[in-house]
Amino acid sequence: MRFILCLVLLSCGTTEATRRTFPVSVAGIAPKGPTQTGWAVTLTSATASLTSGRFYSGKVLISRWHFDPWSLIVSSAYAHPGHYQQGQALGEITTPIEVDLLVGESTWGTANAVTGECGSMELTYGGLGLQLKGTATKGAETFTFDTGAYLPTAAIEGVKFDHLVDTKPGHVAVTLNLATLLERVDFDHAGTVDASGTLHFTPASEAYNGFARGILDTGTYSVEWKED
Amino acid sequence: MPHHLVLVLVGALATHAVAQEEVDSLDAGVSGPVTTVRGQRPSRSASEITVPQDVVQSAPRTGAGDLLRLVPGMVASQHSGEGKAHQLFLRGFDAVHGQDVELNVAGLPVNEVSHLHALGYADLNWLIRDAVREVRVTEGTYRAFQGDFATAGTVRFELGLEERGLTLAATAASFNRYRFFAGFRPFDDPETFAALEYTQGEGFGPQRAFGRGSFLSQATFTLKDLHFRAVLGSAMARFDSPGVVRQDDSADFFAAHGLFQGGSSSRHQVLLGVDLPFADGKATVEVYGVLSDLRLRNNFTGFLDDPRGDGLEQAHTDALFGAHADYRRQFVWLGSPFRFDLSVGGRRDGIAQTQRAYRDSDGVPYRNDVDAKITQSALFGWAELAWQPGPWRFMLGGRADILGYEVFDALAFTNPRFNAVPGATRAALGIHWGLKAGVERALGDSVRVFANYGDGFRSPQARSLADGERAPFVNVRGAELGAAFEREQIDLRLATFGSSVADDFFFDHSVGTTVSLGASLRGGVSATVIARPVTGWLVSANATAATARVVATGALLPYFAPLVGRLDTSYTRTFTVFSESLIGLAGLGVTGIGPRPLPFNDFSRPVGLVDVRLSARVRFIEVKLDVQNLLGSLWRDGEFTFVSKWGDSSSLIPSRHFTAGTPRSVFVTVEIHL
Repeated sequence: MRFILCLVLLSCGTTEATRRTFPVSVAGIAPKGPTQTGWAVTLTSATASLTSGRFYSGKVLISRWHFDPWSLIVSSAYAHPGHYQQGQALGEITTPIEVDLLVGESTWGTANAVTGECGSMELTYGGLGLQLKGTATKGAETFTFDTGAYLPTAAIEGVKFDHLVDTKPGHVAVTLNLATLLERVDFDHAGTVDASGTLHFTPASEAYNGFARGILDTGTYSVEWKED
Repeated sequence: MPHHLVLVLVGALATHAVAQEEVDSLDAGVSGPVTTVRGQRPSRSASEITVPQDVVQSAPRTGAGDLLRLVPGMVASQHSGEGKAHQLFLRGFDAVHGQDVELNVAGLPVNEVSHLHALGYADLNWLIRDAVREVRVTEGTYRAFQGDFATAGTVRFELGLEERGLTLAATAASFNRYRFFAGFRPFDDPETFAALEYTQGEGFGPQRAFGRGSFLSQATFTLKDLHFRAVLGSAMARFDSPGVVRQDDSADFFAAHGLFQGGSSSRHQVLLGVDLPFADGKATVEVYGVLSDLRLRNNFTGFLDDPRGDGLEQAHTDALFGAHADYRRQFVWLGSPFRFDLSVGGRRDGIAQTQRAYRDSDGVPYRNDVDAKITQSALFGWAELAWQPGPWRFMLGGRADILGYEVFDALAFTNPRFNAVPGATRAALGIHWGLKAGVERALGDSVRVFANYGDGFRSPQARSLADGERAPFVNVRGAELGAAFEREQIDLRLATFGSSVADDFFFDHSVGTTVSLGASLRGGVSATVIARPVTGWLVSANATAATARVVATGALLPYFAPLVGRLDTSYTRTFTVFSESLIGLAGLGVTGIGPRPLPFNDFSRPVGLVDVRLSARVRFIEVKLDVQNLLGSLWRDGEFTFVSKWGDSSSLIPSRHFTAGTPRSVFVTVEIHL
């Protein structure tokens, strides 16, 4: 009916942008070697509770060194990186999910979106946030650990996602690099070992602080468009 | 000679270039007392039409929106209560609140320049429908008299009361709506009258109550060779506004979002004019003044930008003074009739505007966004020369508009650390030249074909200008091919039109964002017919199909109305009942609006509305029964796509929003004619 109407009206066509949907998956990258502090970590459980993910037009500004001989004579002033403008929301997935990060790609759900140039993503944790369990080994010392849950009080803004979302089929893969996250954790200053031999991170510990800052660090996350 | 032949002859000889009633002598150029014939305005393009009063009276008209729907192809949406200007769509343009349609009432301009809420804001709610004698529609940009904002066309309402004597009317309607009207026409001349109207209602849902009063009068009289005209008017309104409903919300169709929305407005106006013989021709001099103000509170986005609420309170006042002098002369040269029209004039708008954000919880302002005073001046001059050799008629014209802006921005330089005195001034000036041309060819007694070209323009918003900037105009080039078939019983017109806008922009006034589009193209076809097939039966119908695209991408522009149709028909008959004459009228109005493109490749829902009117008159008493939206359609008057944050909604991508259209409404009116 609309096609006939369009022919009559000579109004066939579309407006500049259009609505679309695409699937979103979540996965984790487990650590494979020892951390900088010498701890070899094997994860037995990595659970994340996510409530929403949004894709924004705002670009993430990253500093990049570029040598310009002219600058030896005339120096230029540059704004320091880190100013992030979120821009307009171009897509979102608002289905809460509790995901096991150790089983490979898990389907989060379907994002509602409009076409346009994306520059960043925002992730919002809910429930218990993120919690890791596993074993840590350094030399002869081995123990199981439980980071405890950490729930960020605000959304993780400014995760880099440069992609022109058009109407081509594809999906978004969100990856949490747990190896990067655990680089911040020093198991030497984590807390106390209980009777069963499990090290529980105490909230005031350096290790827990590193764990929390790792969750808040946008470098822990990578977001990629994968064509189907 | 049959009456219609006289009219045709008058039409051929006495063209009408200025937008006012023309009373021409059959013997052009002869001064002194002669017999005058009041003819219908001759059209100079296929889409230049006059809607007569019997069409106005043929179907229910409850307000200005219904009068605007008499314009072929026009969609008039009222999305924020009964006191705010309508959103207009015409010929592929989304004119928002008037930026692309020049509106004029009896010589008084309605569009407001540099308006805070929307460019060319044109509030017609004060216009008393019973005082509208005819509607003169000049679609396109092809006539030199068309000024600022006439990018899609010009609509002028002429005033007059239909019946001599005193008319009193009272109306009771659905949703506790009441209307009282009193009109007095002392002479045979329908143009001299005084009318007073008061209307109030609770509205068909929450936050839709309103009340308004309007006084309008016009007087004309002739003293020797001088014909004087004066128009006086005052009006005020107070209205609530329900805001918008999110489509994905579970709210009721007629629900309201956001407290404290609505506003008030007032308008006081005067026009004094005189026609006089001058230099072998005729001259008209008119001066006018309009004092208008608007206070408006809207919140379309909820709590998106600020947790206290995104509501904006806008206040705008304008003191307008203007004058123009027109000269027209007809003469014969080398055996062919010529007509020359010339006009010069100017206006000054003294504007004060403020915008403040207010809290949704209690309406208290919390942030100043705008505080500015503007003096906007405009000078114009235009001329048309028409040559009519035999069946041909050639017209060449031009128009120049000079706009000057002075802005005082009170919110600039307000940091006391760096600026001892806050505020900054800016000034800008610019000129726009426009070419107008037309060719007509008569084919027999009843058919004329037309080719027209014209440049139109839209003035910029004063606050958007930098100091010393040459005021940038939005320039529109329009062209049209058309034909008219004119007989006593039928006036049929067909036209195909196109227009190009050089630097177009899309202003989403719901969220206050402006998007530059670059060049855009619009085009379409229209058909209009006014017929009186048999005595008592009147048919007025029109259909317009249009498209609007961005040139660079070929994408459709959002919001314009691709397909609009309107039918007004009535049958009037006199019966004898108990030896009394009873004049009965049955009228029908049908509106159809096709799906409108929305952002992100959505389309709005189509609209189909049926209105009926039944009236009966015995002697001096008349009873009218009007039903609007007879079928009780749940229709969307306005549909918009933008980001909002209302209630529990968590989505931050652009969502569909709508404003509910009027449900079935019944009006019962008793009129007494004394």
